[in-house]
Amino acid sequence: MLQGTLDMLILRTLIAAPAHGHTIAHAIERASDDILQVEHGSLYPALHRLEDQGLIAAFWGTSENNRKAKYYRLTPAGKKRLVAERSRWEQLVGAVSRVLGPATGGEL
Amino acid sequence: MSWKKYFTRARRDADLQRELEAHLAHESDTFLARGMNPESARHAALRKLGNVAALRESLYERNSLSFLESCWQDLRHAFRQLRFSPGYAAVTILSLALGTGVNIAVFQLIDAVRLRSLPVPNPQQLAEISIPKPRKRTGDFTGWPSEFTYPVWEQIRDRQRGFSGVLAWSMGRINLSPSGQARFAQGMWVSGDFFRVLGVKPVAGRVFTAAEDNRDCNTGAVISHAFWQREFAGDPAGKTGHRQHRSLSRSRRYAAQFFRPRRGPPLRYRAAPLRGAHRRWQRWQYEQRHTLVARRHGPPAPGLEHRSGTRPTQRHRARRVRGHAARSP
Repeated sequence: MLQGTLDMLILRTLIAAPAHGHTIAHAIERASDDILQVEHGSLYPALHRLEDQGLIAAFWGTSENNRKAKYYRLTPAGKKRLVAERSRWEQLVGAVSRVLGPATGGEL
Repeated sequence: MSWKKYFTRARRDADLQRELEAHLAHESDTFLARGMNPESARHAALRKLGNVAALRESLYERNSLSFLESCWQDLRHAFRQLRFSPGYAAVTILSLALGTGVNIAVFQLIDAVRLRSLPVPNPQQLAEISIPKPRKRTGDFTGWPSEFTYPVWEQIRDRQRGFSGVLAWSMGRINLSPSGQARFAQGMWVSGDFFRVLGVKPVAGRVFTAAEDNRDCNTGAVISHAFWQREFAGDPAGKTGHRQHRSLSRSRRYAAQFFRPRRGPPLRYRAAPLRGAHRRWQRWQYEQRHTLVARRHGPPAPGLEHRSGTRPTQRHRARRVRGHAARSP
Protein backbone atom coordinates (compact mmCIF):
# COMPACT_ATOMS: atom_id res chain seq x y z
CA MET A 1 0.00 0.00 0.00
CA LEU A 2 1.26 3.47 -0.86
CA GLN A 3 2.90 5.48 1.84
CA GLY A 4 0.43 7.78 3.57
CA THR A 5 -2.67 6.30 1.99
CA LEU A 6 -3.48 4.10 4.98
CA ASP A 7 -4.32 7.12 7.15
CA MET A 8 -6.66 8.43 4.49
CA LEU A 9 -8.34 5.07 4.05
CA ILE A 10 -8.86 4.70 7.79
CA LEU A 11 -10.46 8.14 7.97
CA ARG A 12 -12.67 7.28 4.99
CA THR A 13 -13.79 4.01 6.59
CA LEU A 14 -14.76 5.74 9.83
CA ILE A 15 -17.00 8.28 8.07
CA ALA A 16 -19.96 5.92 8.10
CA ALA A 17 -19.82 4.77 11.71
CA PRO A 18 -17.38 4.17 14.56
CA ALA A 19 -15.49 0.89 14.18
CA HIS A 20 -12.75 -1.11 15.87
CA GLY A 21 -9.41 -2.02 14.33
CA HIS A 22 -10.42 -5.42 13.05
CA THR A 23 -13.49 -4.07 11.29
CA ILE A 24 -11.51 -1.22 9.75
CA ALA A 25 -8.94 -3.59 8.26
CA HIS A 26 -11.59 -5.88 6.78
CA ALA A 27 -13.71 -2.98 5.58
CA ILE A 28 -10.76 -1.58 3.62
CA GLU A 29 -9.97 -4.97 2.17
CA ARG A 30 -13.61 -5.64 1.19
CA ALA A 31 -14.11 -2.19 -0.29
CA SER A 32 -11.02 -2.61 -2.46
CA ASP A 33 -12.11 -6.10 -3.59
CA ASP A 34 -9.16 -7.53 -1.63
CA ILE A 35 -6.67 -5.67 -3.81
CA LEU A 36 -5.48 -3.62 -0.83
CA GLN A 37 -4.22 -5.77 1.99
CA VAL A 38 -4.04 -3.96 5.32
CA GLU A 39 -0.96 -4.97 7.24
CA HIS A 40 -2.42 -5.60 10.69
CA GLY A 41 0.95 -4.79 12.24
CA SER A 42 0.92 -1.29 10.78
CA LEU A 43 -2.80 -0.65 11.30
CA TYR A 44 -2.59 -0.17 15.06
CA PRO A 45 0.38 2.21 15.06
CA ALA A 46 -1.49 4.22 12.42
CA LEU A 47 -4.63 4.30 14.57
CA HIS A 48 -2.66 5.49 17.58
CA ARG A 49 -0.90 8.11 15.53
CA LEU A 50 -4.20 9.45 14.23
CA GLU A 51 -5.57 9.46 17.77
CA ASP A 52 -2.55 11.46 18.97
CA GLN A 53 -3.17 13.96 16.20
CA GLY A 54 -6.76 14.32 17.35
CA LEU A 55 -8.17 13.17 14.02
CA ILE A 56 -9.98 10.23 15.58
CA ALA A 57 -11.16 9.51 19.11
CA ALA A 58 -11.18 6.15 20.84
CA PHE A 59 -13.63 4.53 23.24
CA TRP A 60 -14.16 1.01 24.50
CA GLY A 61 -17.33 -0.78 23.45
CA THR A 62 -18.77 -4.19 22.78
CA SER A 63 -18.42 -5.63 19.33
CA GLU A 64 -20.92 -7.54 17.20
CA ASN A 65 -19.26 -10.77 18.41
CA ASN A 66 -20.05 -9.70 21.96
CA ARG A 67 -16.39 -9.00 22.68
CA LYS A 68 -14.78 -5.94 24.21
CA ALA A 69 -13.16 -3.83 21.52
CA LYS A 70 -11.63 -0.41 21.16
CA TYR A 71 -13.76 1.67 18.84
CA TYR A 72 -12.63 4.71 16.89
CA ARG A 73 -14.77 7.51 15.60
CA LEU A 74 -13.98 10.47 13.37
CA THR A 75 -13.57 13.88 14.98
CA PRO A 76 -14.41 17.16 13.19
CA ALA A 77 -10.68 17.70 12.68
CA GLY A 78 -10.49 14.24 11.12
CA LYS A 79 -13.30 15.07 8.71
CA LYS A 80 -11.49 18.21 7.62
CA ARG A 81 -8.29 16.27 7.14
CA LEU A 82 -10.10 13.64 5.05
CA VAL A 83 -11.41 16.32 2.67
CA ALA A 84 -7.93 17.75 2.26
CA GLU A 85 -6.34 14.33 1.78
CA ARG A 86 -8.93 13.33 -0.78
CA SER A 87 -8.38 16.40 -2.95
CA ARG A 88 -4.62 15.96 -2.68
CA TRP A 89 -4.99 12.33 -3.69
CA GLU A 90 -7.21 13.17 -6.66
CA GLN A 91 -4.70 15.73 -7.85
CA LEU A 92 -1.95 13.15 -7.58
CA VAL A 93 -3.90 10.49 -9.43
CA GLY A 94 -4.89 12.96 -12.15
CA ALA A 95 -1.30 14.09 -12.56
CA VAL A 96 0.04 10.56 -12.81
CA SER A 97 -2.66 9.65 -15.36
CA ARG A 98 -1.85 12.68 -17.46
CA VAL A 99 1.80 11.71 -17.51
CA LEU A 100 1.01 8.16 -18.47
CA GLY A 101 -1.46 9.28 -21.15
CA PRO A 102 -3.79 6.87 -22.94
CA ALA A 103 -2.52 3.32 -23.33
CA THR A 104 -0.89 3.17 -26.74
CA GLY A 105 0.06 -0.44 -26.74
CA GLY A 106 3.61 0.63 -27.44
CA GLU A 107 4.72 -0.71 -24.09
CA LEU A 108 3.90 -4.22 -25.07
CA MET B 1 6.40 14.27 22.46
CA SER B 2 4.63 15.45 25.53
CA TRP B 3 5.07 14.89 29.26
CA LYS B 4 1.53 13.70 29.53
CA LYS B 5 2.25 10.84 27.14
CA TYR B 6 5.40 10.03 29.02
CA PHE B 7 3.62 9.59 32.31
CA THR B 8 0.70 7.65 30.84
CA ARG B 9 2.76 5.34 28.66
CA ALA B 10 2.33 2.32 30.95
CA ARG B 11 -1.44 2.75 30.78
CA ARG B 12 -1.26 3.27 27.05
CA ASP B 13 0.74 0.07 26.67
CA ALA B 14 -1.83 -1.89 28.66
CA ASP B 15 -4.50 -0.32 26.48
CA LEU B 16 -2.74 -1.42 23.32
CA GLN B 17 -2.31 -4.91 24.69
CA ARG B 18 -6.03 -5.21 25.35
CA GLU B 19 -6.76 -3.80 21.93
CA LEU B 20 -4.48 -6.29 20.21
CA GLU B 21 -5.99 -9.08 22.28
CA ALA B 22 -9.43 -8.02 21.09
CA HIS B 23 -8.14 -7.93 17.52
CA LEU B 24 -6.76 -11.46 17.81
CA ALA B 25 -10.07 -12.64 19.22
CA HIS B 26 -11.97 -11.13 16.32
CA GLU B 27 -9.54 -12.51 13.77
CA SER B 28 -9.75 -15.97 15.37
CA ASP B 29 -13.51 -15.73 15.13
CA THR B 30 -13.16 -15.15 11.41
CA PHE B 31 -10.93 -18.17 11.00
CA LEU B 32 -13.22 -20.26 13.23
CA ALA B 33 -16.12 -19.32 10.99
CA ARG B 34 -14.14 -20.77 8.10
CA GLY B 35 -14.00 -24.06 9.95
CA MET B 36 -10.58 -24.00 11.61
CA ASN B 37 -10.11 -25.47 15.06
CA PRO B 38 -9.64 -22.89 17.84
CA GLU B 39 -5.90 -23.42 18.27
CA SER B 40 -4.90 -23.11 14.65
CA ALA B 41 -7.35 -20.20 14.24
CA ARG B 42 -5.51 -18.32 16.95
CA HIS B 43 -2.14 -19.15 15.43
CA ALA B 44 -3.28 -17.93 12.06
CA ALA B 45 -4.51 -14.71 13.60
CA LEU B 46 -1.17 -14.22 15.38
CA ARG B 47 0.72 -14.86 12.16
CA LYS B 48 -1.34 -12.27 10.38
CA LEU B 49 -0.86 -9.67 13.06
CA GLY B 50 2.91 -10.10 13.18
CA ASN B 51 5.23 -9.35 16.08
CA VAL B 52 3.05 -8.15 18.92
CA ALA B 53 5.99 -7.37 21.19
CA ALA B 54 7.64 -5.23 18.52
CA LEU B 55 4.36 -3.40 17.99
CA ARG B 56 4.04 -2.64 21.67
CA GLU B 57 7.68 -1.62 21.90
CA SER B 58 7.44 0.85 19.05
CA LEU B 59 4.45 2.55 20.65
CA TYR B 60 6.15 2.57 24.05
CA GLU B 61 9.21 4.20 22.55
CA ARG B 62 7.09 6.76 20.76
CA ASN B 63 5.67 7.72 24.14
CA SER B 64 9.10 7.91 25.78
CA LEU B 65 11.51 10.72 26.26
CA SER B 66 14.59 9.00 24.95
CA PHE B 67 16.83 11.70 26.35
CA LEU B 68 15.48 11.22 29.86
CA GLU B 69 15.58 7.50 29.48
CA SER B 70 19.22 7.39 28.44
CA CYS B 71 20.15 9.85 31.19
CA TRP B 72 18.64 7.56 33.76
CA GLN B 73 20.49 4.60 32.27
CA ASP B 74 23.76 6.50 32.28
CA LEU B 75 23.21 7.45 35.89
CA ARG B 76 22.61 3.88 36.93
CA HIS B 77 25.62 2.77 34.94
CA ALA B 78 27.74 5.41 36.67
CA PHE B 79 26.66 4.25 40.10
CA ARG B 80 27.45 0.64 39.23
CA GLN B 81 30.91 1.70 38.08
CA LEU B 82 31.50 3.71 41.23
CA ARG B 83 30.67 0.68 43.34
CA PHE B 84 33.51 -1.22 41.70
CA SER B 85 36.13 1.24 42.98
CA PRO B 86 34.89 2.66 46.29
CA GLY B 87 38.19 4.31 47.16
CA TYR B 88 38.34 6.26 43.93
CA ALA B 89 34.69 7.18 44.29
CA ALA B 90 35.19 8.38 47.85
CA VAL B 91 38.17 10.58 46.90
CA THR B 92 36.28 12.02 43.94
CA ILE B 93 33.17 12.77 45.94
CA LEU B 94 35.22 14.27 48.76
CA SER B 95 37.18 16.55 46.45
CA LEU B 96 34.00 17.63 44.70
CA ALA B 97 32.41 18.36 48.07
CA LEU B 98 35.44 20.34 49.21
CA GLY B 99 35.51 22.28 45.96
CA THR B 100 31.85 23.12 46.26
CA GLY B 101 32.30 24.17 49.87
CA VAL B 102 35.23 26.42 49.09
CA ASN B 103 33.29 27.96 46.25
CA ILE B 104 30.38 28.73 48.53
CA ALA B 105 32.66 30.20 51.17
CA VAL B 106 34.41 32.44 48.66
CA PHE B 107 31.14 33.56 47.23
CA GLN B 108 29.79 34.41 50.66
CA LEU B 109 32.86 36.50 51.32
CA ILE B 110 32.57 38.32 48.00
CA ASP B 111 28.87 38.78 48.61
CA ALA B 112 29.50 40.29 52.01
CA VAL B 113 32.27 42.70 51.08
CA ARG B 114 31.43 43.47 47.50
CA LEU B 115 27.87 42.76 46.48
CA ARG B 116 25.82 43.57 49.51
CA SER B 117 24.90 47.18 49.95
CA LEU B 118 25.53 49.20 53.06
CA PRO B 119 22.96 48.60 55.80
CA VAL B 120 21.63 52.13 55.55
CA PRO B 121 18.44 53.50 54.02
CA ASN B 122 18.64 53.94 50.22
CA PRO B 123 22.25 52.85 49.77
CA GLN B 124 21.92 53.38 46.03
CA GLN B 125 21.92 57.16 46.61
CA LEU B 126 25.38 57.02 48.11
CA ALA B 127 28.43 57.64 46.03
CA GLU B 128 32.10 57.95 46.71
CA ILE B 129 33.74 61.14 45.60
CA SER B 130 37.06 60.59 43.91
CA ILE B 131 39.63 62.64 42.05
CA PRO B 132 39.59 62.17 38.29
CA LYS B 133 42.55 60.69 36.48
CA PRO B 134 45.80 62.36 37.62
CA ARG B 135 46.14 65.29 35.30
CA LYS B 136 46.51 69.00 35.85
CA ARG B 137 46.29 68.86 39.57
CA THR B 138 48.54 69.44 42.52
CA GLY B 139 48.98 67.86 45.86
CA ASP B 140 49.79 64.55 47.37
CA PHE B 141 48.15 61.74 45.47
CA THR B 142 50.20 58.82 46.58
CA GLY B 143 47.30 57.06 48.22
CA TRP B 144 45.04 54.74 46.34
CA PRO B 145 41.90 55.14 47.12
CA SER B 146 41.88 58.74 46.19
CA GLU B 147 41.69 60.56 49.46
CA PHE B 148 41.31 64.19 50.32
CA THR B 149 43.06 66.48 52.70
CA TYR B 150 41.08 68.29 55.32
CA PRO B 151 41.17 71.69 53.58
CA VAL B 152 39.90 70.08 50.40
CA TRP B 153 37.16 68.39 52.37
CA GLU B 154 36.21 71.71 53.93
CA GLN B 155 35.94 73.29 50.49
CA ILE B 156 33.81 70.47 49.18
CA ARG B 157 31.63 70.42 52.27
CA ASP B 158 30.95 74.14 52.16
CA ARG B 159 30.65 74.69 48.43
CA GLN B 160 29.21 71.62 46.82
CA ARG B 161 25.69 71.94 45.49
CA GLY B 162 25.33 68.60 43.73
CA PHE B 163 24.43 66.51 46.74
CA SER B 164 22.02 66.43 49.62
CA GLY B 165 24.91 65.84 51.94
CA VAL B 166 28.54 64.84 52.06
CA LEU B 167 30.55 63.10 54.69
CA ALA B 168 34.19 62.32 55.27
CA TRP B 169 35.76 59.46 57.07
CA SER B 170 39.13 57.89 57.57
CA MET B 171 40.39 54.88 59.34
CA GLY B 172 41.86 55.12 62.76
CA ARG B 173 42.49 53.05 65.79
CA ILE B 174 42.17 53.89 69.39
CA ASN B 175 43.86 52.71 72.54
CA LEU B 176 41.27 51.34 74.91
CA SER B 177 43.42 50.98 78.00
CA PRO B 178 44.24 54.13 80.01
CA SER B 179 47.61 52.77 81.11
CA GLY B 180 49.78 49.73 80.77
CA GLN B 181 49.68 47.57 77.71
CA ALA B 182 47.96 49.23 74.82
CA ARG B 183 44.81 47.62 73.53
CA PHE B 184 43.60 48.88 70.23
CA ALA B 185 40.22 48.89 68.61
CA GLN B 186 39.59 49.65 64.95
CA GLY B 187 37.56 52.73 64.33
CA MET B 188 36.79 55.56 62.02
CA TRP B 189 37.15 59.30 62.26
CA VAL B 190 34.08 60.80 60.77
CA SER B 191 32.74 64.22 59.93
CA GLY B 192 29.99 65.89 61.92
CA ASP B 193 26.95 64.91 59.93
CA PHE B 194 28.20 61.43 59.11
CA PHE B 195 25.15 59.80 60.65
CA ARG B 196 22.69 62.30 59.27
CA VAL B 197 23.93 61.77 55.70
CA LEU B 198 23.89 58.01 56.09
CA GLY B 199 20.46 58.17 57.69
CA VAL B 200 21.42 56.00 60.65
CA LYS B 201 19.94 56.58 64.07
CA PRO B 202 21.36 55.41 67.41
CA VAL B 203 19.44 52.99 69.62
CA ALA B 204 20.51 54.88 72.71
CA GLY B 205 22.13 58.20 73.42
CA ARG B 206 22.79 60.49 70.49
CA VAL B 207 25.12 60.88 67.56
CA PHE B 208 27.05 64.03 66.78
CA THR B 209 25.95 66.76 64.46
CA ALA B 210 27.63 69.06 61.98
CA ALA B 211 27.55 71.86 64.56
CA GLU B 212 29.93 69.84 66.70
CA ASP B 213 32.61 69.82 64.04
CA ASN B 214 34.98 71.89 66.16
CA ARG B 215 37.98 71.47 68.36
CA ASP B 216 36.21 71.35 71.69
CA CYS B 217 36.40 67.62 71.58
CA ASN B 218 33.72 66.97 74.17
CA THR B 219 31.30 65.11 71.95
CA GLY B 220 32.31 61.53 72.49
CA ALA B 221 32.34 58.43 70.40
CA VAL B 222 29.67 56.39 68.77
CA ILE B 223 30.17 52.70 69.23
CA SER B 224 28.64 49.75 67.50
CA HIS B 225 26.23 47.41 69.14
CA ALA B 226 28.79 44.62 69.09
CA PHE B 227 31.38 46.86 70.73
CA TRP B 228 28.84 47.96 73.31
CA GLN B 229 28.04 44.37 74.19
CA ARG B 230 31.67 43.30 74.26
CA GLU B 231 33.31 46.17 76.08
CA PHE B 232 30.48 47.56 78.17
CA ALA B 233 28.49 44.37 78.65
CA GLY B 234 25.44 46.20 77.30
CA ASP B 235 25.13 48.45 80.36
CA PRO B 236 22.50 51.20 80.33
CA ALA B 237 23.51 54.50 78.81
CA GLY B 238 24.82 57.21 81.09
CA LYS B 239 26.48 55.06 83.69
CA THR B 240 28.57 53.02 81.28
CA GLY B 241 29.61 56.03 79.34
CA HIS B 242 30.77 57.68 82.51
CA ARG B 243 32.70 54.73 83.80
CA GLN B 244 34.47 54.12 80.55
CA HIS B 245 35.09 57.79 80.14
CA ARG B 246 38.79 57.70 80.83
CA SER B 247 39.71 54.73 78.77
CA LEU B 248 38.19 56.18 75.68
CA SER B 249 39.25 59.69 76.40
CA ARG B 250 41.92 59.90 73.74
CA SER B 251 39.49 59.64 70.94
CA ARG B 252 37.15 62.33 69.95
CA ARG B 253 34.97 60.78 67.34
CA TYR B 254 34.94 57.17 66.99
CA ALA B 255 32.65 54.69 65.36
CA ALA B 256 33.85 51.24 66.11
CA GLN B 257 33.03 48.57 63.60
CA PHE B 258 30.43 50.61 61.95
CA PHE B 259 30.05 48.49 58.89
CA ARG B 260 28.79 45.01 59.48
CA PRO B 261 29.66 42.81 56.59
CA ARG B 262 27.13 40.12 57.33
CA ARG B 263 23.44 39.96 57.79
CA GLY B 264 22.50 40.09 61.42
CA PRO B 265 20.57 42.14 63.93
CA PRO B 266 20.06 45.74 62.87
CA LEU B 267 22.82 48.18 63.56
CA ARG B 268 22.71 49.75 66.98
CA TYR B 269 24.85 52.55 68.28
CA ARG B 270 25.54 54.21 71.50
CA ALA B 271 27.21 57.46 72.30
CA ALA B 272 29.86 57.47 74.97
CA PRO B 273 31.01 60.86 76.26
CA LEU B 274 34.69 61.55 75.81
CA ARG B 275 36.97 64.41 76.59
CA GLY B 276 40.19 66.00 75.49
CA ALA B 277 41.27 64.41 72.28
CA HIS B 278 42.62 67.64 71.02
CA ARG B 279 45.76 66.20 69.58
CA ARG B 280 43.97 63.37 67.81
CA TRP B 281 41.53 65.81 66.36
CA GLN B 282 44.30 67.99 65.04
CA ARG B 283 46.02 64.99 63.58
CA TRP B 284 42.83 64.00 61.89
CA GLN B 285 42.46 67.44 60.46
CA TYR B 286 45.95 67.93 59.17
CA GLU B 287 47.52 64.58 58.64
CA GLN B 288 44.83 62.10 57.81
CA ARG B 289 43.49 61.64 54.33
CA HIS B 290 39.78 61.40 54.05
CA THR B 291 37.47 59.36 51.96
CA LEU B 292 34.47 61.34 50.86
CA VAL B 293 31.02 59.92 50.41
CA ALA B 294 28.06 61.87 49.12
CA ARG B 295 24.35 61.24 49.14
CA ARG B 296 21.98 62.70 46.67
CA HIS B 297 18.23 62.27 46.68
CA GLY B 298 16.88 61.87 43.19
CA PRO B 299 18.82 61.66 39.92
CA PRO B 300 22.45 62.82 39.65
CA ALA B 301 22.98 66.50 39.07
CA PRO B 302 23.92 67.60 35.55
CA GLY B 303 27.66 67.59 35.01
CA LEU B 304 28.19 64.73 37.41
CA GLU B 305 29.31 61.46 36.03
CA HIS B 306 28.02 58.50 37.97
CA ARG B 307 29.94 55.30 37.67
CA SER B 308 28.69 52.26 39.45
CA GLY B 309 30.57 49.24 40.62
CA THR B 310 34.04 50.09 41.82
CA ARG B 311 36.44 48.80 44.36
CA PRO B 312 35.12 48.40 47.86
CA THR B 313 36.22 50.87 50.47
CA GLN B 314 36.54 49.27 53.84
CA ARG B 315 33.67 46.80 53.70
CA HIS B 316 31.82 49.46 51.98
CA ARG B 317 30.38 49.55 48.55
CA ALA B 318 29.79 52.93 47.12
CA ARG B 319 29.62 54.41 43.70
CA ARG B 320 32.17 56.92 42.64
CA VAL B 321 31.31 60.30 41.42
CA ARG B 322 33.55 62.55 39.49
CA GLY B 323 32.69 65.99 38.45
CA HIS B 324 32.51 69.48 39.82
CA ALA B 325 32.57 68.50 43.42
CA ALA B 326 35.74 66.51 43.07
CA ARG B 327 37.43 69.06 40.89
CA SER B 328 36.62 72.08 43.02
CA PRO B 329 40.10 72.29 44.62
